[in-house]
Amino acid sequence: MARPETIKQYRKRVQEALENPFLRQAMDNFAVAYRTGRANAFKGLDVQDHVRKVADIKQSCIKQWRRLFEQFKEKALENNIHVHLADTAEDACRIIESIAADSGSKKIVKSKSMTAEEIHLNAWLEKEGLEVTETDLGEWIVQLRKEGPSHMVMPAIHLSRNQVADLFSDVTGKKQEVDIDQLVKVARKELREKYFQADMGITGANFVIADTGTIGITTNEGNARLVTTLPGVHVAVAGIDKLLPSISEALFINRVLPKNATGQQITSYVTWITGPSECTVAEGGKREMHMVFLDNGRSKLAGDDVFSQALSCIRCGACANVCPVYRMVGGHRMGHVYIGAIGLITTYFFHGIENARHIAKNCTGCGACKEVCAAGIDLPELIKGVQDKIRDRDGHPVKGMLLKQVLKNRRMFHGLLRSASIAQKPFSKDAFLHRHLPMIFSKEQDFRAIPAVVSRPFRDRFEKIVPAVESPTVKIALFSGCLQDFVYPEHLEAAMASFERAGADVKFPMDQTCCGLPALMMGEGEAARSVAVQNIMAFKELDLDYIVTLCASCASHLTHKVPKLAGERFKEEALAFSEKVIPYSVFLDRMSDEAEYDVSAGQTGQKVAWHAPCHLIRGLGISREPKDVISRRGFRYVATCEEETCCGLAGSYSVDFPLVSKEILAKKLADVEQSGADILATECPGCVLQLRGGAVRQGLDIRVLHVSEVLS
Amino acid sequence: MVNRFTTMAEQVSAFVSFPADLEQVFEKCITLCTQKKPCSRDGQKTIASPDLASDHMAELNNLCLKNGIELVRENIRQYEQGVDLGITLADFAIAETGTLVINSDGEDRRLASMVSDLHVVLMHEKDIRESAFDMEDDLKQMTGRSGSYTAFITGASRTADIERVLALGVHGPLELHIMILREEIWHGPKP
Ligand code: SF4
Ligand code: SF4
Repeated sequence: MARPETIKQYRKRVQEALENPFLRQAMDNFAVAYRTGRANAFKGLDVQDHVRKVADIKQSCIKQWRRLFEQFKEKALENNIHVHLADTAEDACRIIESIAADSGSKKIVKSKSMTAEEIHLNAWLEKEGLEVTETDLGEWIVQLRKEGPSHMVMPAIHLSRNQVADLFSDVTGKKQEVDIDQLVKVARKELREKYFQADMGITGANFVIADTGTIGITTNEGNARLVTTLPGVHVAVAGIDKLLPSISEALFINRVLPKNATGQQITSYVTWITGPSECTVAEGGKREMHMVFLDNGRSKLAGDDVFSQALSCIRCGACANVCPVYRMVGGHRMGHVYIGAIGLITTYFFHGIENARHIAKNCTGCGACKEVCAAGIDLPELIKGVQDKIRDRDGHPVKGMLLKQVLKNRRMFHGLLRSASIAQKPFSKDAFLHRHLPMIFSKEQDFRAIPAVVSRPFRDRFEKIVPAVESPTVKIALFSGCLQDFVYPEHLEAAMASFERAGADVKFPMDQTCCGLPALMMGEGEAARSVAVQNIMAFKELDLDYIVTLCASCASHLTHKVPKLAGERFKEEALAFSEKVIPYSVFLDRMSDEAEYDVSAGQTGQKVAWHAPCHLIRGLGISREPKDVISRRGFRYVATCEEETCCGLAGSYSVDFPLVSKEILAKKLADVEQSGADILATECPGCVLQLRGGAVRQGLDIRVLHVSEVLS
Repeated sequence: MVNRFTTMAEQVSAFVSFPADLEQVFEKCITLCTQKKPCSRDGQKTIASPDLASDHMAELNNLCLKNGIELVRENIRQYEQGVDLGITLADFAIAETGTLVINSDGEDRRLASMVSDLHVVLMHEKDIRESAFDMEDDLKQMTGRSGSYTAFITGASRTADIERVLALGVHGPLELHIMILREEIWHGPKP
């Protein structure tokens, strides 16, 4: 077996992708076009409702896969389909190999099947001396190039027409013109012959229907129809997760699949096959048909409370289409066989830790994939879960262990942060902090200017600047988060005036500490729990209406994660705490309705672009409030195309993959620059760090500000 | 519903027409066939029509003979270079997506819709349904039969696999022509 890739080799491959201008352009055009395509396809439909229903269908089928399998098998018997259940990838290959041997098949045509890719079927059959031809155009192209697909729906999206023309010239021994229509005709001609010569056809199955013993296959090209019509033997291969009770469920999923995949209402062909149909060259006038079910870890996964979700995937590919990392590096760097967010997860389960180790890290956790997933899978959470599993097996890095120790004791933690500032050399490269406050001074990090740790954190300034409000209308406490307490205290300071206008009584509990998100991201659940409880206790005795935070990441973590982390013992306190947490802009928006404070005091005319922090827009579903708050103060909000795209910082992500982070950032800033905005506002100190650092390095005439700074 | 169906089908590059009778259908097929480049190397043009009743076949055959076109009903598998035009009959159509639903159990019927350069589908207006969900029972019946092969066809064969540029006719028909008949020319299950 080939030696597993090192992280260094992987990073190098990632870098090569970043340096490929065609790939970059192709991925970019696609990312932009996909958004519109999908929106149009779902026009007039309640997308979330559809997604929920797909998720429900899939989850219930996965739970009862065994029963559905038995039912299908019984029906299949009546329909003369031979049914096989393969435990492993090798078993599946062996079964198919022997079907070929028993039927005397030498030449095989194949239509697209991710399951066949998963088990590396072609390589296996070719080793046995069989000729296998992929007939899906994209698959055929990558097969001829001896590559794997770079997208689950568009396997050759990484290639240019020039490359295809060169390839086809080689294959046909004739110079082929660089004309897409012509190239498609070349494939039509070459492949047509293959269908007629083939002894056996292999397909996947999008749907396997238990009550009638039917399989459903969708294609645009129509190749699966020829594959299941001309050869005398048909082998379908599918994971056990493809089983459905009846055609009703299949029709429903098929309503969502093409819309989410390519923005189509339906694919050109959907074929329903209930056993062998007429085949004039086969013995007895009917085709021989086999259904090979693949387990390969699925049945175990089906029983896992968290990861069974991954089996809901209907392979639409959307989670790659919207991923900022995929957009930069393409599929060959963002997956093994399965590509995109789902690939980062299933690679671990289907292809093992060796193949998953590095790619599982290549995720900013932005949540864009989760938002478009046709099956409602919480992809970022599962990716994180895979990262945790890998870390648990490989051993936790020293940094994480240190962090765990330090976070247990707030005084020690904050003492260290203070000394970091005094030392002038805030974060030495291997200090544990470089992940916590993600600033390191390696050359690759130099694409953005890095701020320093302040000598007087916000907690030391608070008493002096807290507004004295007589008869307050609302009682709040601030949750600062480390980055604003120790690096950007000015964000919090700037907010004081708006709190005063809102008539708020403001408290700052000194026992508050890190929210725990960085620890959780490093797989240090115990440390995250420890700080969660410390924070709950720090705010517990106060009589409060809200706990306001200016950090979107803290807000999202305190809202969603703290109640889970706190455990049974602190359950009620945790819920009471979390319910009060509110992002700054939402608080202001709410107060402006209730207390009607003066909003006309702002400056006018300046154009403000908005960067939606991932944790705000997708973590908490907040999009309107910050923009409204800014507009109400007299600024001109300008919409930008990439407003909701991740900035690329994402905690430790930019440390692991600085070059990708840099490119994501560059894209973002270019978009803002094009809008002509004077100010780029956001609501998370991490995003400020990334965006401001990038704007400074690039010498852009854009001021990057926290929303509190804009308003003040 | 027929309007919706037509709009949706045309959106995916199908050609929709409303011939008055079979005579018009056949004339149109002959015109389409004579105007195209032959797919066989020797230049002989072929129309495949596995489903028409024998009297209709005779009618079409007369026209074919006049125009030097070969008309075949079976053994379409022999035509490795494809046939120029294939005629099939649809069982249902789905307005929501512009889809044709065709029972394709027989090999010749399947091949007529797959290896033809131009695929002509005849359908009755009365067989249009709003969505696939409105014909679940029919679909269950069609797909519930052992040995059945049911095809949903929406537009021509297409690919966007090279630079995401749409190209038609990568494997199956280059063009899909849907001819909607207001009057029934066959009854119940296809002849
Ligand atoms: S969370 Fe963001 S970066 Fe991670 S896989 Fe999903 S879309 Fe890609
Ligand atoms: S995980 Fe979701 S978005 Fe990704 S391919 Fe599967 S169904 Fe589609």
